[in-house]
Amino acid sequence: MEVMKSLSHVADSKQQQEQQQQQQEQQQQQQQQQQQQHFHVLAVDDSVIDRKLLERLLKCSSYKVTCVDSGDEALKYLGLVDHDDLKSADSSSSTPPSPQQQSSELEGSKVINMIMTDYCMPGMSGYDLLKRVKGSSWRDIPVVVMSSENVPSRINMCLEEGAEEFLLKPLQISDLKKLQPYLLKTLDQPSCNSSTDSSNNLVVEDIGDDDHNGQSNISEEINKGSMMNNTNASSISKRKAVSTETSERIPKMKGLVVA
Amino acid sequence: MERNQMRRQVGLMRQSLFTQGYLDEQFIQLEELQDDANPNFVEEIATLYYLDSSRSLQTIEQALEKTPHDFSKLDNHMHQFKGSSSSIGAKKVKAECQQFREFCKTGNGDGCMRTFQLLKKEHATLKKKLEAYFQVMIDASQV
Repeated sequence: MEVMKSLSHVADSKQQQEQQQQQQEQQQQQQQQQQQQHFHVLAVDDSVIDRKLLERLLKCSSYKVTCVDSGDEALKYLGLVDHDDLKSADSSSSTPPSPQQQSSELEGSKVINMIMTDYCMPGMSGYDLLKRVKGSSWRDIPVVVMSSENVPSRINMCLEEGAEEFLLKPLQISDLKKLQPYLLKTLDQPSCNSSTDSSNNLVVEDIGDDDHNGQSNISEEINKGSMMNNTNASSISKRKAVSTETSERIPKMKGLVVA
Repeated sequence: MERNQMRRQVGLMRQSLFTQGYLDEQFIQLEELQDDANPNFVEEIATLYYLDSSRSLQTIEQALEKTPHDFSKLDNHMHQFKGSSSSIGAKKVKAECQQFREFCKTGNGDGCMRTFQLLKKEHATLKKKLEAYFQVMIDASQV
């Protein structure tokens, strides 16, 4: 009798545990979806048509978008303009942020999860902007460079400078899906505890104790789907270390399904 | 009945824009970005294109009138113009842009000017066709 009781008790508590786990997972999923909807992308392009297209593409993926028409405006938005420049230019932002910025946050104000920039722009090129960003406290933010011209040396140059992706214009919906992994990655970054290795890739420590075999699937698909060269392939496997723990809980990773 | 007829007309017009080579698959991308929340996206971006590109054409025309031709500048302008045209799927316009750039590379001023005339013509033709297409769509939706 006692044994039966304790067995059923065990069964009950197990059920409870499962239910709790399910609830937790649901909550986390919702949270992640909400967070995803709040991904904020800074889009830089001198073409009004391309800005409109990019804005629509990003909003279609439920991202927030801020569009600017030049590298200079982008730097102003990111607060990377020197004090002297600020005096002469008319800027809508007040004081520049302090140098100690976290991966995607600014003290109390702007959050940017990704920068997408055109390559060919009058004045500061997308490459110049990329360099400035990667040399600043915003260096951990994924930067995507876009161009209408397929020039391998240009692509390599950008990837070597730290661009996460190089997309050919005109952009399509399928291109946006390629970007989802980078944005999801930023969800997992703790605000401190991050360091960059020599090839400018984010290596995050203290992620999680569990070893998830599902991680390899995701990095493989990143490799298949993107326009990256070999040097980046190794950095993709480094990104394996970045936990995809939470992403696994999303049932449909539609962005990662490679046709 | 009339509604079906009008819808068929819309479909036929759309089809011919593709089969006659005026538009390419990028236009389909634009259509896919249109939804209930943004029901006029295609028309909006097309309108924006015509506003923006008309200005660009004027700039290029003025640059062509200056001799000797600054081919590097001309190529730059055309690179931008080609980009916008490509973004909305303007296939024939894009082809003329490419031709123009080829002539810039070889420093062929006559070639540039001839191609520019063809380009303007394609640009204007597409505009008329798109305007007619959008109008029929509006008419069909109101029946």
